[in-house]
Amino acid sequence: MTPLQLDLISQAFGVLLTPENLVFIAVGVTFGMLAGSIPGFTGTNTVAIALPFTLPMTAEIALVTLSAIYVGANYGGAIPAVLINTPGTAGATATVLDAYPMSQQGDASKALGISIFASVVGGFVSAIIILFLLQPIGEIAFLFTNREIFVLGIFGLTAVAVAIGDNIRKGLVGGFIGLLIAVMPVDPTTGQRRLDFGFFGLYDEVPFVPVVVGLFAISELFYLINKAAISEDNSINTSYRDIFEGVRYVISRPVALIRAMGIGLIIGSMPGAGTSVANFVSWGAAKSMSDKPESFGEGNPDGVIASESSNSAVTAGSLVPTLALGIPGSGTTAVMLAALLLHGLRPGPQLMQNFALEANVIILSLLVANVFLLISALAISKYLVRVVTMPANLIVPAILALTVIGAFAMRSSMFDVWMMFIFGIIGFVMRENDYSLIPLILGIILGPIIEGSFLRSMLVSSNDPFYFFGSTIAIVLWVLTVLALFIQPLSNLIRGVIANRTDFMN
Amino acid sequence: MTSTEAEEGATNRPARSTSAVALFRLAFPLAGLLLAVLYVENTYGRIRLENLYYPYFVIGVLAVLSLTVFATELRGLADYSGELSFVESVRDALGEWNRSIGFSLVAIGYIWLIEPIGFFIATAIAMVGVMLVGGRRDPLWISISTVIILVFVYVMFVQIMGLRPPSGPLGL
Repeated sequence: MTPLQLDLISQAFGVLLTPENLVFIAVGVTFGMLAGSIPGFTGTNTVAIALPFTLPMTAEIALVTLSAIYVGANYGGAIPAVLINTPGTAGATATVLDAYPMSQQGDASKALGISIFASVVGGFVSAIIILFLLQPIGEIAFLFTNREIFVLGIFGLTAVAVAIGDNIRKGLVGGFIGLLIAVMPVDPTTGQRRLDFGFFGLYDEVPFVPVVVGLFAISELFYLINKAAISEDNSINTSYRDIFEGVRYVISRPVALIRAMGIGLIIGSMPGAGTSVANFVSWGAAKSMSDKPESFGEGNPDGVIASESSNSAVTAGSLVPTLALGIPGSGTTAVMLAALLLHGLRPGPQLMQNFALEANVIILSLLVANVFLLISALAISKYLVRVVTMPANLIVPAILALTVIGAFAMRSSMFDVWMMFIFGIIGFVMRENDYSLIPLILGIILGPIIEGSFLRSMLVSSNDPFYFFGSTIAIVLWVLTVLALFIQPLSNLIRGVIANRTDFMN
Repeated sequence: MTSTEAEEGATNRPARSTSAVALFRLAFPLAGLLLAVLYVENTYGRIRLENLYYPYFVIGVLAVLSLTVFATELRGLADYSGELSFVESVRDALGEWNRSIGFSLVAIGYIWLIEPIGFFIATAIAMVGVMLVGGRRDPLWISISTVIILVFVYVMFVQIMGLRPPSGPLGL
């Protein structure tokens, strides 16, 4: 680590460790845990709802608060997974496999303790590793000019579309509709109006905060309103003594912990992969390397460590492509991209050049948030299960009121509130037809950056399209884009051929 | 976890008509293509072509991708045989999603009412409406929850965060 980097980290600590920031981290972690524990209400939705309320905050406080919410929501999903057999978030799905059988065997408190400590250690250590990687990543980012940023944007959109959904073409359609929506406001060079339907709210830019809140939070309400209560099982007894026994168990399993963290970090760093992939891969790896693989799924505590530690490591890992390249590693970091833009930080390779301090503050806030998570989770997680038993017909109107005031807060505009609601309906239609929401939002957020890079590149090259193939980085990115497009159909084809041959031989 | 009423209702339902399913499945890419057509109509010949290279590149790729999605969906629909007529299918979908539709109507009314009557009065009405749509009937429970949430929103967002939502003639 260079003296310059150490200086940057100490500066970032100075910015982070103010009483105000610590209060926001504590509130953020607790709010995140609370919302993350509601099954079906993901970390992405939670950060999306909180996004407009960070508007009056300074950029540092806003990003620190959102990171804390991200950490809290990521863990919150484990609470109902342990206690009522229902993962609060997709990242906690593999947690259910062993944590709930443990609860059924009378070890609910121990399972809770394991999930808390594995999650905290996974998140804390992976954040330290990412902190060391930030500067090398920043140095690579110096090599990116407008040409590379344009190709990187196309690659990012493709990679996310391929990684997230089952259907690449549907993901890409969503992403390119997002790009099309992003080019609706005025022409950036001439100021001529393009397609704003006469709405002044669309004149300058597409308001991405109402779009994010609508797509993620409002669309979820259409589902939530159909539920009476998320769970009616509230007969769970837990004790602090057993919770601490779980903590001690995690300390006694360092290898399992490190393996899960490693998997989480690597998968988190891949654009689009996210917690839902990491927790299953980690659980599978732990099972295959165990002396008693048959006990996995029957209440093996190592299964809980594998799932929880990996999904927390994803939190830090997914910030690598987000901060360094402007490509989100998960749905929540896609919303974090919107937060960066909202607070004047332009995502993309130049972020590490121009906002290195803020990037370090974000990563350091994960460290501090994990410390608060440990305290907060040990203190209140056993009570948070009551949230799950709250009737949906109370949660839905409360969230509706919060989202409306949140969408309005951005520009004090009712147009934005309508926009949020329309995108809520669009999000619902997309989800019903198996379109991932993330490529669409990524297209809207990255659209102006991609277009700006395209226009500047065309200006430099006198409208020569071959300019986009004129550097090694650009060529590598084009090749990666093509590979990303064809890798899934190719693997499907190979699997089909192998399956046919096997059938034939049988 | 309790299953949703929608899920419960969805089991053993007769298959909806092919045209209704097609309309719903193709709605999103169709909307994208419509937006693309409107974009070209509004910009072609009005903005110099050099500035339209990028938007038209996006539209071109979108058109190709949408056509492949159409082809895949239509191929899937070729093997699908609906049992209900189009009208029956629409009625069936309305029955399945009645609470979501009720919620949408309340939300539209709510957003529409915010400016004329003020944020807090509109929110109170909307909260009661959503709770009724969600199946809650106890007036005491509805009143107490509405007041608690309104007080929370007021303290948190107006007093602490300094937001100024639209206030109607009563100043609320």
